[in-house]
Amino acid sequence: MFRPWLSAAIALVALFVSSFDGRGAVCRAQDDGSYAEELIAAARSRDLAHSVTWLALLHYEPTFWHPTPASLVDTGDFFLDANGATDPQAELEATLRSFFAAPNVTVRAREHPQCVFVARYRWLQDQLDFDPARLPEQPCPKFEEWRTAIHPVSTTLIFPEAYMNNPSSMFGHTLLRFDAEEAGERRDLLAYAANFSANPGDDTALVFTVRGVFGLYQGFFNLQPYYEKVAEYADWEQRDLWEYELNLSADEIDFLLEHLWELRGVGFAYFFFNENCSYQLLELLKVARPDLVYWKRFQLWTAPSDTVRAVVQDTGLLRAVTFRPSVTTNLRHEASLLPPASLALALQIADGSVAPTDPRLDALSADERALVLTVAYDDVRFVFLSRDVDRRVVAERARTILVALSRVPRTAEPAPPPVPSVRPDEGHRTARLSVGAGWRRSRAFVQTQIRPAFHDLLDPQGGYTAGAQIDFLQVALRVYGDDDEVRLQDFTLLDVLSLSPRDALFEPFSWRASTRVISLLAPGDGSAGIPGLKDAYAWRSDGGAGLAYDLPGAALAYGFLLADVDVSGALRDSISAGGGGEVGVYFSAMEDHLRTHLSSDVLEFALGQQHTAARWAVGQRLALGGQSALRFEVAARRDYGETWVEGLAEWQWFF
Amino acid sequence: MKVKVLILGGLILSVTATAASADPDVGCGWGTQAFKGSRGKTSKILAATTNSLFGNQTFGISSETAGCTGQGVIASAERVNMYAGANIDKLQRDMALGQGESLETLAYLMGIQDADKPAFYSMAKSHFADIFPSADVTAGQMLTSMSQLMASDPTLSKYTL
Repeated sequence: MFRPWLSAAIALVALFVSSFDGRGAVCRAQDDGSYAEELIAAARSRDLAHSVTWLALLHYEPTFWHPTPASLVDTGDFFLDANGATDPQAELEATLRSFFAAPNVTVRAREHPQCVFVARYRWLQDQLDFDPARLPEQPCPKFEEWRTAIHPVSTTLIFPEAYMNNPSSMFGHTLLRFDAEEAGERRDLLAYAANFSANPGDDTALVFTVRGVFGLYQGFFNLQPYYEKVAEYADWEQRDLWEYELNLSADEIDFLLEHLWELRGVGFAYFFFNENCSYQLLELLKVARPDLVYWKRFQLWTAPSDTVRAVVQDTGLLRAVTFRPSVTTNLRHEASLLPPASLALALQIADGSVAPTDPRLDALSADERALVLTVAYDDVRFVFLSRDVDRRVVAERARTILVALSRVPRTAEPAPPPVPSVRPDEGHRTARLSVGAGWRRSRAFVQTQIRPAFHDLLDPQGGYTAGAQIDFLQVALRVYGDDDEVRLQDFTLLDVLSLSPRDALFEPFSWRASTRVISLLAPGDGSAGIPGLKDAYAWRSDGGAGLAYDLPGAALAYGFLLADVDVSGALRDSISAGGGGEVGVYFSAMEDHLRTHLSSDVLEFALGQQHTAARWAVGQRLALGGQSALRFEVAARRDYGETWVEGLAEWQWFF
Repeated sequence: MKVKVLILGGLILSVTATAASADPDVGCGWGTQAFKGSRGKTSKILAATTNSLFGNQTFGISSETAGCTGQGVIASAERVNMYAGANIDKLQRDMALGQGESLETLAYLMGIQDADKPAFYSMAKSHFADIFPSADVTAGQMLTSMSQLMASDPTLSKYTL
């Protein structure tokens, strides 16, 4: 007869007997060895090696070229197992075993494994409830000293806005500040900021771009006091800083810091487009919040502002935003508070033509005198930051201005520059799809265009650096109604335009450069619908330099001198090259709901296929709700002696 | 054995004595002058370098300050010097105005209580020309001058040794 209690008793006895190992229950020669195996078995039964946190700690990601997740880390000794970069289970086991090493054992030529891999240790300890009698906890004095010096209470994602004169900064940047409190008050300047960057050494911008695109640099995380980053971005690069304070919990922040310690000297391949500074910063945040999976979309390209958007808007992590103006934003604002005669005086003091002790200053109120001298000093400093100047000259001039300022009775601090109404994360999304129809002379067509990144000067301007246009890998396909042939109208590899208005304070140059494959009108059989012209594919590169000015009514006017090279089999000698110019103006109305671009350009092609091309165009963009817009363009064109009109109306969607 | 201990003890003492030297021209950030750096040099900073990382494999700060840090953070004894050195331009400006975020941070690092900060700012503003008699004044010299001025100020003398 089957008696359940007997079966249970036999089962219990069997279980008890089987728990004896070969050497006997009492005298275990290598107790830590088997505790390690116990922990490994416990970890395996819970599949910790495939948990999101463990994979985040090892920086496992699928990439476009490598769809099976593997570690993005390049530095070999980040892994304790030979296959750690591709086998998370093996790495977990090797990590657990390493914790049992004798106290004098070091890894990565630094400290004990428990201290080098302190985030892994703390997490596994929390998950597996280590018994300190069987796995002794090693002291980590260096880590504790480091952590105490940082003592964070919150974290802030910092976004320096785009800087057009350096390819690595053209899309903006992100860094993570560990906000600290001292004596009960936040001390942001003294806090430490983590930053991921590649070191291009002395490479020129062109070499940097090529090497950066192909992942030929190593990038590392580093930590600097925030005041150094403010000096670097707000002063030397004249970029406004947006500080997005996040509401990570104290435990999450501790875990982040522990992981950052693990990343000392750990290199990642730096890819300009996708695995760049902002991507790696998201990877860091992912350790604290592995449930945030929005960075799956950052496989092909990662724009820093998109990462800010992902963290801030889509996840509810945002607590507060602070705007920290650059030196130029400050200077421009202060200058706007002065009447024109005083501003002129300030600039004369700045360039040394008038002394800071000039009697004209005595006629001013104390407030105005202080502001004139402040603007003068800030202008001297701006000149020093933005150009190669002799330090001796400017430093002494600055000092004499400040001596005069110190003698003005103390005044109230002027109001800070206004915070821009649209934040970088609130601007239009960076990818754009356009669908529309148009005509060229008498032929109608439909056209569709896709632009993965980034922003042009007719797009909604809010949240983007004024005057900065970057169009990237844009493809436009066109089908004419009368022949159904799909033509590649435009494949823009890169189109960059930087319009920087000149005024009394600032005199920058504007510049543009682009390269693309286009459907070009060339001499032919008239199949283009214009006598004597046909559509042919050409590779067009152009560039130029010019000047831009702000006009009343928030208009931006510009003029460029341009050079243009077209390469195509349909052209005589396969080339057409020449130069010319463009003038134009952009202006917005109804708070940028409507933006208009008027332009006119003439190009005289003198080499190869000779011809003169001219264009007069009007473009308009009407912003609709959400992330869409309507765009209209009409142009009158003249080329090879023929004149015609073309136009296009498109609906655009930003995503 | 006794001799060895004595020699070893002497070596240790001499090393620590050097480290504790009050020479104002020694120390992190002390040698920095106003308007330091040039466009060419800072283009390396602009390219977001990580210079210290390659040498000693720790988190690093900019090249002027490497060696002042342990594992990338500043030892608390060096904080005033490092801060003054890195921010001398902004400190100069704030002192001439008698207010500002950078000056307030310096006051905090020097241990000035909130109630005494206005006296500190006034002292800096009214003695600006004494603190900065030339454009070559270093951060260390600035801090020394301020210390001397504070010593003879009734409210601030309690902050100097």
